[in-house]
Amino acid sequence: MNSSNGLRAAPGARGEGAGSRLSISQREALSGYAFIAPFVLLFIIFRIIPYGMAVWLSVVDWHARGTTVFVGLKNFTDVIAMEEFRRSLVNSVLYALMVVPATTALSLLIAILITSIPRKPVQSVFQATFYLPGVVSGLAVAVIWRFIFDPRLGLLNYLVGQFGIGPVNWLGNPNLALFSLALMAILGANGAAIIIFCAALLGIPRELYDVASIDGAGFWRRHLAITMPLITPSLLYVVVLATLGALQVFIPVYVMTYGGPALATTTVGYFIYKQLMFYGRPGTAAAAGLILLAATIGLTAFQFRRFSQVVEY
Amino acid sequence: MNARKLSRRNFLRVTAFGSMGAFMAACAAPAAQPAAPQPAAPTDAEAAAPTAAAESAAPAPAAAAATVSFMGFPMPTMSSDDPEGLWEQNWSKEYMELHPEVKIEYQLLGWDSITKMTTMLTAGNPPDLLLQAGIEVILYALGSGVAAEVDLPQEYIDDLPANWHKNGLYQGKGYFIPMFVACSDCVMVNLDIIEEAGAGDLLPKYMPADNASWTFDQYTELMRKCTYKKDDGTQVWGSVIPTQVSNPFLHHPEQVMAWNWGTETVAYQDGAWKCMLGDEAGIAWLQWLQDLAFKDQVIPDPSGLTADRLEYWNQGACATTFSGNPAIPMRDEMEVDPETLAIKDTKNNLTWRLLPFPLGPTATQPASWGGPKLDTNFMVFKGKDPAALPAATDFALWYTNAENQKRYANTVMPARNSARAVVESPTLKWFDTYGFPYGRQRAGADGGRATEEAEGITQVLQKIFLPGANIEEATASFCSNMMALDWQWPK
Repeated sequence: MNSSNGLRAAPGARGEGAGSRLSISQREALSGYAFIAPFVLLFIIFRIIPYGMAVWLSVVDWHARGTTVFVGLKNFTDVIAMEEFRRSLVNSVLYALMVVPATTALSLLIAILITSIPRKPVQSVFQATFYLPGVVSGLAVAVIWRFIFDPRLGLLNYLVGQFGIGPVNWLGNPNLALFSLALMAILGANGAAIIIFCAALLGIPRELYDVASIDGAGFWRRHLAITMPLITPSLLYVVVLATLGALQVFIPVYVMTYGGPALATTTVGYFIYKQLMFYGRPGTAAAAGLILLAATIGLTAFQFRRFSQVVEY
Repeated sequence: MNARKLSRRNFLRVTAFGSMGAFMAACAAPAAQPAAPQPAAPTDAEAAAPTAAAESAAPAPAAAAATVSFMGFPMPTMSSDDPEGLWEQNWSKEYMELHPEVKIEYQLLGWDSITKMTTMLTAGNPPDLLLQAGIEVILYALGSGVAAEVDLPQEYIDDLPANWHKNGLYQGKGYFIPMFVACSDCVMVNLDIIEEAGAGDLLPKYMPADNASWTFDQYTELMRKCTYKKDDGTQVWGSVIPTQVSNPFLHHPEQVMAWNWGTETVAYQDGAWKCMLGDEAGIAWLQWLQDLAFKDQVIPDPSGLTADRLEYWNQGACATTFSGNPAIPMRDEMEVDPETLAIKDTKNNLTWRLLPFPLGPTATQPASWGGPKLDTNFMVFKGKDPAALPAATDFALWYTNAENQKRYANTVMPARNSARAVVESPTLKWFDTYGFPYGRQRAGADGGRATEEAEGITQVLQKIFLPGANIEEATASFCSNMMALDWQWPK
């Protein structure tokens, strides 16, 4: 008998036990599938099915043990009609607009400085140092920042006080609160982005910078003309990930401001949390989550499209 | 036999079907239990039968073997000293000795209890028994179909304060087994600061509920006198109102303040739900609150303030309105002077006293936070194991029987009249006279909108303390949001 690829599965061939009915390629394929099976299984159970349930919850009036009624798009129209949701959407976008460009630029600058260090071990020390905060719980970081922002005893007010400013109510002033949360994200830098940028920068041939220097290009010119075009794939990756993270921001809001004052820091992530955990409304929470998902997918597609026009290689 | 190549498509298909099958099998597992009847509310006979045994404080007839999952927020007297819930565990242990066939598994709830219970109830996965269940728990339990009605025996009802049982019903049905009563949110004043500020003469001497002897003006005056800087530069404030809190129910002190001013946030009047906060009295009350920060300057800027009231009070504020619970003086570290009712906190080395809220210009009766629908009740649920429901009901009835309530009568204020009669604690007696009869709940609770009302008050408070805040705008937004909701009975 022939296998589908035309190779004869010879009985007793090497690696094939007596009575085996599978060809080598089939067995290889099977073992490959077996390797990915646990992930696929878990992915389906913990990702695909919950996503499906979220879609289902968003179109029904769900009662755990009561009668669940199909309500169509009512949950979506209810959510969109809520002032709090619209405000949270605006806040999330504003937060992303503040955080993404600033953290990306800062991470790139730090990466350039790190890679300009001639000694590799020192580079590694700096890379590890900047990456380290990324492994600390976001909750712990937010708690520390809450103390830093404290209007009475906070470190930040002490620092600005040295210049005769303040005291500033960083988290209590609605005009400042969202900016303060963004400031925390920006100053915390993005350790993962720094590592990605470092790897990309180290892949650029040194000779290009040398030639540019000989031609009289300064620091900014060299990086604008050489670095930027050559790291665009990494830049795209970092910007997309940072945008996704910023639009889903929750922990700093939950720990530091609870969405206030007067909804000034309520983001979509926090809105979803409140709908589910305070009000027990899985339908509106799911609908808000799906609206955020749609917005995120749209934005990511836009970013890919825009960046793909400038990606050099 | 033909050797077939397993395509990716087929593999994914098999995996998907396999996982779906496993998932569905897991979901269906409880239904496979033999002879498992559908969970149902106890009938009158079911509720009454275990009660009869419980009333006599003797071992009840053997019930069906069951494991009861029991969750509870720590008792007000124990919250600081009993992080593991030993109080409840000991009571559970005692019951299990009387009923070896029943196993009680206790889990303590912390400050996350509200969100935790909301999530559990919404998901239809409640514990079998909850201690400190309030009106919100009924609302969520009804929404998810896990609420279990309880018909208290007549003897039990007769032993409760007048109308207590009737006012604890929701839409004419009973869900609570009352354990203790609490009217928190009295005013707590720091006597050490008052003495240092020389403001002792501003304190009311005697506080009969029907003849309140201090007003909001006097209260403001006390705060003014208590706002000063100590020699070491430490700022002392008259009071503190943090507006940035995570728990939506922490703004009940302001709700109580509104009642004592003579206003209301939402009320059921003339057959309809009305938003009252935008009325003249509501605006005046909010103006008084706003003036505390901007005009009188007797409170720190509430905007963004996340400090717990009690924590802030301990740091240096003359008066606070949070956790003024008459059960707190029962803690081990508190020493009460029976003459002056001054309470010495030996742990934190400060002396304080409980006072009722002052009365506002349009108030007729001092009120405090409490009443039969407050979270001081047991509540049973239709859990996963139907056998647990009667066992949980029996345990709660035993826990709250007359004999047992007398045993904890000097720890918390017991719900039953027969147990209240044996209270000896001077602060509980004071509270029994001046606080307890005037305990109320949010009006929105009866309309099924307690959570939204609390969140609405939070938003109003956050808005009025912003620079250049417009009170009318804040109340208009509150009323617009409240009236857009679908209010329930008695609408």
